[in-house]
Amino acid sequence: MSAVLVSCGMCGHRFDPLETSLCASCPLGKGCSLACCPACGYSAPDPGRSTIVGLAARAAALARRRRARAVPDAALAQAEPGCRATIETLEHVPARQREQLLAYGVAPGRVVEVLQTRPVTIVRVEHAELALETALSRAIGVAAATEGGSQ
Amino acid sequence: MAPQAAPALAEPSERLEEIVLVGHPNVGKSVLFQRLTGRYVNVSNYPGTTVDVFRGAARTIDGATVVDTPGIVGFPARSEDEQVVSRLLLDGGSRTIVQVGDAKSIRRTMQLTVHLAELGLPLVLVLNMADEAGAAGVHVDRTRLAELLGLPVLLTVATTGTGVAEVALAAAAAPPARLRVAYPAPVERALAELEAAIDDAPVAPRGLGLLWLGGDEDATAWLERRLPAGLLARLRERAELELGEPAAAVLQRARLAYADEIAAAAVRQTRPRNRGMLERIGRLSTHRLWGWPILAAVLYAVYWFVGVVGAGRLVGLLERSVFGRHVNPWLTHEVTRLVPSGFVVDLLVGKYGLWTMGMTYALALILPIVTTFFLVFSVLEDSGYLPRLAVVSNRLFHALGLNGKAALPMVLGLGCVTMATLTTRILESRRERLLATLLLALGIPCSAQLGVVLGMLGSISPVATLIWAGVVATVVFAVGWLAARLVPGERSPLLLELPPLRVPRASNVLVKTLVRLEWYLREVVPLFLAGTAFLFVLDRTGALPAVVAAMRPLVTGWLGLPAAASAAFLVGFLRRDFGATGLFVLHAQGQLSPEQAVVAMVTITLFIPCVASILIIVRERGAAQAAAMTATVFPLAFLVGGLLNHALRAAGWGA
Repeated sequence: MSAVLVSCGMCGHRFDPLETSLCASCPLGKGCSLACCPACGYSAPDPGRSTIVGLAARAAALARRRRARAVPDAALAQAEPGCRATIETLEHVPARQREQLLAYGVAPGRVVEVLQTRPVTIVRVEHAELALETALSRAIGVAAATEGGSQ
Repeated sequence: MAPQAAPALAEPSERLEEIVLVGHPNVGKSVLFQRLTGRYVNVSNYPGTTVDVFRGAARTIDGATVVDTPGIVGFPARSEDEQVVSRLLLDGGSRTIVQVGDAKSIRRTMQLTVHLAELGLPLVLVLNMADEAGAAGVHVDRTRLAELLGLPVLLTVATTGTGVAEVALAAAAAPPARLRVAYPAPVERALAELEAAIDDAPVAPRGLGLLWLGGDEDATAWLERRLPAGLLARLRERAELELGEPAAAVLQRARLAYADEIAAAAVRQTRPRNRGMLERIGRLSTHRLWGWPILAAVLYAVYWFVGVVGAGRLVGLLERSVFGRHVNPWLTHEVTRLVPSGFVVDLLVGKYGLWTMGMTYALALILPIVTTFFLVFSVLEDSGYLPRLAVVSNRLFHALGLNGKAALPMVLGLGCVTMATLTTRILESRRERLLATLLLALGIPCSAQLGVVLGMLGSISPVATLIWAGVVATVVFAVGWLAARLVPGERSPLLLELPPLRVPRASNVLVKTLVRLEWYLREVVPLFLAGTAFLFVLDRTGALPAVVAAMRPLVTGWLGLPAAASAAFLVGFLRRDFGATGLFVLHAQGQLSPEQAVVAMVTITLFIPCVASILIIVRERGAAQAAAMTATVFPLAFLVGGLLNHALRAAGWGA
């Protein structure tokens, strides 16, 4: 039973993929895992019927939720190397790491210079360089990133 | 250098004057300690070297002791190292704190200065690495800073000794710190009430109260013992209700603002001098693509110096020429001539003789290998490359439930696993320390072991070395991956300071290598002698053939090795490099085929390194975890060795 409505990729019509009248008259029969839009007939894989698509959809949803869980509007991880970024918030950073960051002087209002973003983020705070795993720099909110050299 | 157990928060008491060096990691505390006391401790370019509290008599002040503490990030104390420092500061007695800070990072230094000054003890601020600050365009107005903080402030370059002479003088004359940061009214009210209730604190009551508000466990425990039940909870509740947020956050903000204010008034920034080449190499060494070839080049250089020069040429020279042709024949002749007892002659220069086996192994085989390793390792350490390795390898350690910081103990483990087990303290959680200790105990070969392995397998073929490295790496990775999933808890993300890349100072590298060699010989020689004596006794009492026969199904049947290898495995329980050296000798005598050599080396590499490392694991992680590791590692070593033996035979390799 699928209570989840899907949107048609072609016309945008929202429908329940299990309750489409088209399936009854379709020659592909029961084994089919496609859902056809009752409005335009466009067919797309139905996550409720296909195991592979279902798993992929769940994995994608999980990844989206993870990303959504701790990402501020503009994150340090997104700043380009060479930028100077003003730290806005550390509220998404786990407490233990927040204390460490504050002790290093990475605090709201302070400016850091982004030196590198991959494989990890490296920033310069005052004259110290700090390597931050991307999971961490993604949780650090920055207000403004301006192009420009050091100092 | 006996480790000092962290004392519990003590009652105030009068003691000898102490100078306590406190500061962030990697700011030069250990070098300053060495300058002030004349004692050498390992001075390195990455956090975690000073794992214990070192004490030494001050050179210029009679009766005073200088204490070197582990680098701390800040208060409240969170890591084991920080707790040690926090307890040391709250311990009673007549002391002066010398805060060592990085002259380049004034704001960060000031944040810690505020914490320390609030304790109300005599305090001196030493801004070290003044030369690097100058190069970075940071100009500190020392007089202005001293005036603003109300503390003596000194600028030093500890590595060259510039300004160091004044430190002891300033410490002897320093008055109690009187710095007072104004906090929001609710905090001040809570502090005032607390101050009125305490009359016997080992430090300023206000400082103790601030530590408690910030969440420091030791300060809280001390206060809870003295104050009426419920007072602390009531004070905090009222303050936080009025503040509308946790008090710790408010304190932190006020200190940050104060640090900014001070830095703005006393520090001037001009254009930095270009560091050029070193900065570019430093940047490339953490680059997502270029980082790898640089790592490969570094590893190859280490391999060449330790494996080819040390284990190959130097060992060949010492073992075959010096000991084999000259020293041992001469000594055997002299001992036989002078000592009438056949038993003593055998004990000294026989097949399992203390000299011909124990000392020859220690001096002719192990010494050249560890010397070359410690030399190259000291260069790497002082260059500042190791923390960059943490950046490059972060993803790898991610899969093992760790972060790149674990690369530091692992690389240090290539020098000596026992020492490296101590440095797992730099990792954040108990879980991470446990995982890293397990990997170290299981599969990281120490320099002596590595040298023997590379020397032996290198003489067979590069494929043999690759098979050995591949199997050991796979086992380490598989066990690490599994352990990361079985041990409960979360991994913490990488957060690490990268010191600037520097050209190592030759004198520092040499002294450090010598200090480590001395330590190593003291550690190795008694164990090698004990192992040899053990074999000698087994041999004399006729028990050795029985033990060899008992081990035959395992060694000959399962591992497919000659029975003589049993003796090597037996002493391998004591020190695996001792066992490996025995196998090395067997191979040199032509008793091991290439396939047998690879199987033997894989098995012995997966052994627990040595008795000393087991003792350290017991001390650091407790007897239960040590016993569990030992019970896992030894059977696993034989299991993997036997599987490899059968796989190689089935593949027809080395036949």
